[in-house]
Amino acid sequence: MIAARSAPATPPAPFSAFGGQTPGRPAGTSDAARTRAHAFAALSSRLAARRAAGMGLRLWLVCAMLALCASAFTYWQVRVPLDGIARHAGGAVAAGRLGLVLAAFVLAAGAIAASRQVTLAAAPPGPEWLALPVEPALVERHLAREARLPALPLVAPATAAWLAGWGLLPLGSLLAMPLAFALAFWLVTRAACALALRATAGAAGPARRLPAAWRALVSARRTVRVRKVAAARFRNESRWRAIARLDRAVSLRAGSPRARLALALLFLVLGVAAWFMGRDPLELRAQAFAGFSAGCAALGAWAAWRAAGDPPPAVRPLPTSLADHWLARVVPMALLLGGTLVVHAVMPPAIPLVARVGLALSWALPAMLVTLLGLHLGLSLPGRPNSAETLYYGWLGAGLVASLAIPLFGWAMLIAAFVHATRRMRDGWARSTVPGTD
Amino acid sequence: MLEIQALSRRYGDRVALADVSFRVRAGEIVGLLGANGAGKSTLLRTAAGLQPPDTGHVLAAGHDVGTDPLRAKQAIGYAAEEPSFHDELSAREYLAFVSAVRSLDPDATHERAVRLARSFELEPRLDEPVLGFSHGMRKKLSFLAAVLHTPRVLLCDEALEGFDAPSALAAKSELRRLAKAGSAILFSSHVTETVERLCDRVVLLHEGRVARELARAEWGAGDDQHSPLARVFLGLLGAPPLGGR
Repeated sequence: MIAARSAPATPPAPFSAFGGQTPGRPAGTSDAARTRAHAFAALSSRLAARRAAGMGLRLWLVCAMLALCASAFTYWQVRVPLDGIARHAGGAVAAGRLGLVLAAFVLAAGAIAASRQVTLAAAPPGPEWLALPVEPALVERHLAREARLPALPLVAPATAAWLAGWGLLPLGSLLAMPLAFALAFWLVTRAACALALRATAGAAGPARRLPAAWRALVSARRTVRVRKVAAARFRNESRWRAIARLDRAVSLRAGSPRARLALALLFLVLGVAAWFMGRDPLELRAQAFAGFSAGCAALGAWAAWRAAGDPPPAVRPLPTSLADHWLARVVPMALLLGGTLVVHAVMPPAIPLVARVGLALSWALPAMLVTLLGLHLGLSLPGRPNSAETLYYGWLGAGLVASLAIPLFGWAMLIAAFVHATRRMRDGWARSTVPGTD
Repeated sequence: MLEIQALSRRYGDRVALADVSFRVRAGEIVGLLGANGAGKSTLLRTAAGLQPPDTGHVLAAGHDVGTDPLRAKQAIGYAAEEPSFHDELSAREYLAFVSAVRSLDPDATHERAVRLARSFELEPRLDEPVLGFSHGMRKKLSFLAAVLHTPRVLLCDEALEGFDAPSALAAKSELRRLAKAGSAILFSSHVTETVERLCDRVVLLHEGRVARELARAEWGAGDDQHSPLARVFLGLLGAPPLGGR
C-alpha cells in the first residue's frame, strides 16, 4: 500500500568538486574563506542541476509551453499599443513606454524574490547552517540565490516584450534595453532579498546583536510556543467531522491557513459589498464577480494548504480515508460559498431577483471548479503544502493568461487541470511522503 | 575543552536554562540526562551556536561560540536530534560540501567518510539523494558529518536514536576513539544504559538547572529492574521506582 519514494542513485561526486584544502589551516584565513565561497558556489550549481534533472522531460515541455504562451501573449499585448505610440508620438516615446514595461517586469521579479526569501527564511533548506564554520554573508548569498530562482521565468515574457519593439523603436535604444534590464534585474532582486531577509529576521532578545542571516536562521528554528490554548473537548463524531474540526482549530490559530482563510473571507465580503459601490448594473456585476472570484481563489489556496499541510507521519497511520479528508474540506467550503451566493442573490438592489438568482447559480460552477482544484492538488501532494499552493496558483495564472489571450480558453485549461489533479489524487494519497523506510 | 559558563535561556515566560555551568575536559565523554523539556536540546543547540543564550558563554577549544563563532565552530561537531539536509543532494555530495566548508583535505576526508559510512552500513546509499533516506539513515548521516573532521568538541543530541544495533556499536566505538584522541564529547540521551556504558561522567538537568553531576564511581549499583543511573534519575524526578521500591 505504502511505497517508498523512488530515489535513483546519482553519479558519485568527487570530494574535490566542492573544494577543500590541506588540514590544519586556521578557519579565519582568506584561503579558507575562498574555499568556503567555492563550496557554496558548487553547492548552488549542484542543486540547480539536480532540480533540473528531477523535473523530467514532460514537466520541462509543459513549462516551455507555458513560457511560450505567456511570451506570445505578452508580445501581442505590447506590440499593438507600441505600434500606435510609435506612429503617433514617435520612437523615443515608444521606447520610454517599453522601458516602463520592462521596469514592471523587474519590479515583479523583485516582489517574487522577496516573497520567496520570506518563505525560505521561515524554513531554510539545508543543514543546520549555524553549526557550520561559515560566514553569515555566504549563507545569506546562498539563500538569496535560492530565492531569486522563481523570479527567473519572468525573463521569458520580458524578452518577448523587448522583441515586440523590433522594427518600431530606434536600434540604439533597443540594444541598450537588455543591458539595462539585466543590470536592473540583478540589482533589484538582490536588494529585494536583502530587505526581505532583514524584515523577517527577528530582532528581539539575545539574537539582536547577530548579523541578519543569523537572526533569520535563529528565529526560523525557534519552535517553542508556550502560550496555552483552550482545553479541547473529546467527542464521539464521524471521521470527516473530526478532520473538519481539526481544520477549524488550525485555521483559527496564527499561521499560514489562517492568513489564507482570512484573505478568502475578505474578498468574499468585498464581493458582496461591491453591489453597493455604483449604479451601472453591468459594472456592479463585474465588481461583485471579481470579488467573489478572488475569494474563491484564496479559498482554494486554503484548501490546498490544509489538505497538503497535514503531516503524513501524524495523519497517515490514522484510520481515515481519502473520502474523509475530501469531505472534511468540501462541506465547509460548500457551506461558505453557498451562503455567500445566497447573499449575492438576496441582497443586491440593482438587478431583478430572478436575474440575481440565475447569476448566483451560474457563479457556483466556476467557484466549485477553482476551490476543488485547490483541494485536489493539496490531496495529491500530502506533506507538501508549498508545492501544492505553487502549482495551484500556477494553474490559475496560466488560466488567466489564456483567457486574456482567447476568451474563455482559461476555463478550458482549468478544467483540464482539475481533471489531471483529480486523477492524480488517489495516487498521491496512496504514496508515502514519509521520507524513506527502514 | 568545552566550557559552559552560567548559561541562561528563556522562551517567553518559560525558563529553559537557568545559570547552567559545567565543563567537559579533553578526552572525556560526558552524558547529559534529563526528562523531556529539561533543557538538554536547548543546551546543546546553544553550545553549537544555533541560538544565542540570554546570558552566559560557551567556550569550545578556547574560543567563545558567541564572539568568535568561526573558530569555535571549526572545533565543534554537532549531531542534531532532527537533522535537516538539502534533500536533492546525495549523501556523498553533502559530506563533500561539509568537508569543503571545514577546509579539510578532500582525499583524506573522503577516505574517512567512506570508512565511517561502511561501518554504519550507509556506504551502498552514499550516492542516493537524501530524500529517500529513512529517519535512522538521516541520523547516521548527521553523525557522520559531525565526526568527519575529528572535532575537538563533539555535541550529540540523541545522536544514536534510530541507529540499528551494529551501527550503534560502530558509533559508540567511534566516540570512544575520538575521546581517546582528545575530543571532549557531550552526549545527550534518554537511554540511561547507553550513557552508563559510554560516559565517564553524567550531568543531570532538571527544569533547566544542573541538578547533579556524577562521576562513574558515584553511580552506585542498580537492581533487578533499574540500571544505576535510572535509579538516580527516578529519584531526581521524585517518581516511584518500578515494583514499589
